[in-house]
Amino acid sequence: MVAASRELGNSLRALIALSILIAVLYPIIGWLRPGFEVILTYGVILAIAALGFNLLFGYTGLLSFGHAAFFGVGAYTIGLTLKYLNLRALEAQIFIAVVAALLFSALTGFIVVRYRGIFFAILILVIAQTLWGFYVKFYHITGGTDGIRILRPVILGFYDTRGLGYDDFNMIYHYYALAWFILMAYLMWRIINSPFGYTLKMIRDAEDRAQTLGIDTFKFKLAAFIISALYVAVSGALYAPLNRIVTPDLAYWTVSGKMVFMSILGGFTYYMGPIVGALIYVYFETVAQAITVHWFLIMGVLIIATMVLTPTGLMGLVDRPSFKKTLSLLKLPI
Amino acid sequence: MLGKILQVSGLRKYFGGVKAVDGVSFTMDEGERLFIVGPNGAGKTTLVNLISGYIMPDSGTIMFDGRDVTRLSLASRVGVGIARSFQLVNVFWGLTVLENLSIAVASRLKVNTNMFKSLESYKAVLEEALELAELSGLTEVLDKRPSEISQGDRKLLDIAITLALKPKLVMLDEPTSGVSTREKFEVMDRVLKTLHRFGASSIIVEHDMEVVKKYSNRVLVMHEGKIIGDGAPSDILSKEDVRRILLGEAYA
Ligand SMILES: Nc1ncnc2c1ncn2[C@@H]1O[C@H](COP(=O)(O)OP(=O)(O)O)[C@@H](O)[C@H]1O
Ligand SMILES: [Mg+2]
Repeated sequence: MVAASRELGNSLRALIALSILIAVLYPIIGWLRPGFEVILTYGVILAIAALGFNLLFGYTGLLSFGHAAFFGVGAYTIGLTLKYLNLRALEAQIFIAVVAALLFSALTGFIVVRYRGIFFAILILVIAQTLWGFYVKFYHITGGTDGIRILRPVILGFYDTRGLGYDDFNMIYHYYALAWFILMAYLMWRIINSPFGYTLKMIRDAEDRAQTLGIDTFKFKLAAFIISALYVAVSGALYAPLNRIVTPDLAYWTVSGKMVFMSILGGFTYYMGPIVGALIYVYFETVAQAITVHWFLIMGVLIIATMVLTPTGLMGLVDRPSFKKTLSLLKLPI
Repeated sequence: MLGKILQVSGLRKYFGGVKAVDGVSFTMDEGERLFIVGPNGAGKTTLVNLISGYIMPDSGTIMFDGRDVTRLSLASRVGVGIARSFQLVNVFWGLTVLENLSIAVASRLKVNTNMFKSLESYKAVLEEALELAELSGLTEVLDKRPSEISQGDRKLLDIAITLALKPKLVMLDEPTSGVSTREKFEVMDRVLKTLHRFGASSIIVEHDMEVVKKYSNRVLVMHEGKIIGDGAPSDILSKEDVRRILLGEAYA
């Protein structure tokens, strides 16, 4: 154990350091480049999705191209509970999103988790795209491609954010999202270091061998699928108020692709990988979109470069002995 | 008096036209060590697969420890005390040696479903994993991944994972295959010492006659899905037909 958990990319200390950095950086970026600080908020929210996605990808060995479905479930739960129940208490809405994602992922997982590799990936993609079609087609319920506008929420059960100015809301929401991120990331750290987490790693490395140890691998894969879906749904739910609108493209397959991208960019074999990947991804995407309409080409080059130059992602670079030596010379506490 | 741990009768498995296992019957006493030899394709691995529940037989019965396990699932057979390792090293490549052993022990203790306590914090698991490492001579490489250790150590790790289940019957499919000549006796010494320590009955598929001669007191010879010899190695391995079949492989 030991050795692996002492790696920087797998340590809780790295999470703490990064969380402090995210907290401190927000006002600094806002001061240096007003308007850019919100990228950090998006990054933190998407990091929750990437963490959940990577429980399945990096830790269980199941690559899903359909997790946008659960992002959509999260975001649309916010929209629909607002539209039909007039609910603005965000934690209550997130709770409903979690329950919805639990039911939906248990149902779909029961089917797709029986398959591996490309069959798994395509089955879940088809299910996700069907759900996307539903958001587009059922205009009278979902608002179709116009989507649903999201009013400012009430957070923590009492704090109504409706009266706040644009910058104030963004700042409060940043720290609110950061708190969610820290909670979810800490829970994930517990999960991956638990016997359950190690059982998933066994399945990833050698499913047949895990079976010879008496493990019912189907149950564990299903559990991993559901947990990952819950993370992605929480992320989708937190995304909605910041985005101020939910539209079908939040559930489009490209969103699944982003989760794959983030995990590979940061390093899917590391706990910190998807987190770092998400933060850097949103930054690159924003910059690339500002430069050219063909921004996805830049992103494509970036992902290929990552896979060729450092297959273990950015965390893989950081965990190199030479980098660690530099850190120790600088006497950094990480 | 010790009872019969295993009674196999009339076991048959065909793959299309290939009679992989073709009417195999034998019994084993509790605590007994049984070697299985035979040329490539004789059906040795298939027999291990059938007894471990990896595949289901076309016909025949398997009695284990007084109960019929013929149709039991793989997981249930682990539950009653049958464990096996594979011909090719099959370990958890992404985990360290200690993690491999720990999660195997944790699997036997059925704590896999705990999501919030760290694996490291299970004292009983850690102690047992360290003991297994000690017995298997892996203490020096606890923090290494399987890709970073010698082939002999990998085999020992693989077998230690199997033994972590504390099975009553252990089946090892070619424990010395792929191991260097230098390492093979070391590996076998370790394995047999550990098996003895755990008091497990064992079935060991082996292709290396030197190893068989040195460590066995009962050997089964398989050929084309059938058992063609069963007894003390000194008797069986000197028989003309057996020698021809086994040598035929060596010089083929
Ligand atoms: N899953 C399978 N499908 C088809 N044929 C198989 C399968 N497993 C084994 N066989 C065949 O059964 C025969 C016995 O194989 P095996 O039990 O692996 O032999 P051994 O382990 O003695 O070398 C071989 O002819 C092999 O090709
Ligand atoms: Mg074989």
